[in-house]
Amino acid sequence: MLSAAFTAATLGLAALLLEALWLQRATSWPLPFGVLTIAIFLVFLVSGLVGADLRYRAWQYALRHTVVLAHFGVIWRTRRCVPRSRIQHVDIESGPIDRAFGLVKLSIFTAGTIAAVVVIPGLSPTDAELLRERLVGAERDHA
Amino acid sequence: MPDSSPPEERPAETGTPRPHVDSAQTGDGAVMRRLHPATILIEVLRRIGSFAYIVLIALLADFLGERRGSDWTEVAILGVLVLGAAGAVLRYVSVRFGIGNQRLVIRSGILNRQVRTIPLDRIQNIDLRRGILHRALRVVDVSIETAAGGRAEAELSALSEAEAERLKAELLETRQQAAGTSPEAEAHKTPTEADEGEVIWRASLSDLLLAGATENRAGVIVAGLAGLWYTFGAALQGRFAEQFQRTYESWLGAGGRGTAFLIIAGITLLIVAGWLVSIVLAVVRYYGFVLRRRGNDLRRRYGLFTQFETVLPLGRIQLLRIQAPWPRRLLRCCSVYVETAASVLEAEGGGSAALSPLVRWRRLPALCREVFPELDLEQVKWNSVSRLTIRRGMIRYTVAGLIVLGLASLYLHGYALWGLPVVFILARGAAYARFRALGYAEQGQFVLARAGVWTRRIWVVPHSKVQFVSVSQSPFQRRLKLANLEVQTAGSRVIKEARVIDLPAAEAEALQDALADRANAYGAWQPEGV
Repeated sequence: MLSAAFTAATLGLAALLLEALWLQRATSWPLPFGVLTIAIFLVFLVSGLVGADLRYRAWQYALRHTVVLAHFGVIWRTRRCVPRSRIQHVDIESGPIDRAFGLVKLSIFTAGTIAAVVVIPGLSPTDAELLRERLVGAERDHA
Repeated sequence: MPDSSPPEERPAETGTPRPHVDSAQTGDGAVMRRLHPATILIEVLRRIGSFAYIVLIALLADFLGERRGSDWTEVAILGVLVLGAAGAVLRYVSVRFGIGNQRLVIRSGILNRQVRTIPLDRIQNIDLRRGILHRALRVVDVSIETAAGGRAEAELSALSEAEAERLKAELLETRQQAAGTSPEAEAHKTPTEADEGEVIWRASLSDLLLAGATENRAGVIVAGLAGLWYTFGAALQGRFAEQFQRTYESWLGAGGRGTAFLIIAGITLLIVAGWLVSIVLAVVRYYGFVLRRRGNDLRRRYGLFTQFETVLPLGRIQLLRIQAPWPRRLLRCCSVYVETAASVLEAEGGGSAALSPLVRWRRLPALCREVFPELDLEQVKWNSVSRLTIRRGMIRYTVAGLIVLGLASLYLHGYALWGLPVVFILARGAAYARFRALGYAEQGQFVLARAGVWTRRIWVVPHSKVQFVSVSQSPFQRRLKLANLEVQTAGSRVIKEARVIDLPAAEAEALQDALADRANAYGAWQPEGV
């Protein structure tokens, strides 16, 4: 969640920069410089934080005997079932922000799709590795 | 389109083993063979062809801009020609291929050498293609696909007809022997016409005319015109706008009264033209369509000018799609497509291959049984979706209708009010038709989904090919406790495949769990496994 908030803040910052660039060009503007910018920044930040919280709450996963079950999405909600025997490979990755918070992201792939089928963000590295072992490791068959 | 950079520089994709340089010297015990010398000619023309559009634009720009004699155009054309010829010769000289040790080995490149090794059991499709020039020279392009990427892993262009047939036979038979699926001792026979297998379906000319007549490609024409306008519009405007204006006014009078007439005439013309175009396209593309079955492969051959020949291993078929636009349904006909794990033939729309461009309903169950023997299409019991979908459809169509009406009221003013009841009645009717169209069914080891008011589509997915199942809800659906169920296979990359819209949420989730469970029971996804 923190990492998502961080992303939102970055987005807000990007909006600020864009806004500043745009205002430099505009000649006539009723509001004093920066008011709109700050407003947009705040909107982004708040919606980003709230969105991050909602996203965090919506993101659930469960490991069942036969399937991996994942819930995600805030406005459009998806419940996805991946048969465990169909999992082709599993990725664990972490970006710089994730690393700063000691988090990793686990992605599950099946055959014939280019994008990951299920993405589970914000796992601790040990949890992620445990999960990976249960999905594709030697433990798979008696999990 | 086959990319024509001679050394195939892109790295081996996932699934295709990395080039192994040692095997280049030994050739894996394979006898390395060359392409047909006609390659040079074909390759040159292909290279020129890929530049033709640019050259044409350059020439036209010259002509329209009336600044003739710019030498750069000629220099550029000459350069393209020379480079093209050189590349073509290099390609012919450098490419060698052979089969050995259960692998197909292709060597290419002179400076940047590449050796591509494809295990025979990974081959998903073998496509043979011959254009007009190929047919005159009696040669064939062969492309070989694995499940890896978006395009063919190996393109052998061009081989002599005999060589191509031999290669196809070798690839298939070695593969079938390895898989142990074909016990027939036909490995050493030379492939002849009789050997091509039993004919399952053959298109008559009237079938094709009907197939074309029941679809309309007005959209293609609009896109084409838009493309032309985008390219030459600015130049044409200067020259012809005045003249056009004069003709227009002399025909219809100076006022705007003729505009409505012109719009209606234009639309009619577009529809008729689209209809004719689709008839011609259907005949040209599918002329002489023959579907055969031999062992565990389906083989198609079709095409009037450019001939295609495809081998689709049955076990690799991921799903079956039956499709019928409304006029086709009236005539009790439909078309049948299959999707394989490799994205075959992008030209055919979303990686699916037509099994039959037009088949009568009474022949349909038999045709489907050729693909999925356990499927009994006549016995399918359809479950309808939630009736609440009528309410959703109603809202959606009413909003759309009101927008159209709002636009129309700019011209019709107060009279537009009369349109309100029409909009409501039409929306109600359309929503009900949508409800009737939607549905799903389960039969044995298959799940079926159905949708489409105008173009009816039925998807048949065997449990063994299901990759994952999603249930999704929009905010509106959540309020009505409805959900969409989507079954994904390794087949196409089309998002909208095998989808059941507006199921009651609880039913959708139960079905989802059951499907995922059953798919899981089939074990790991085998490219060849049925």
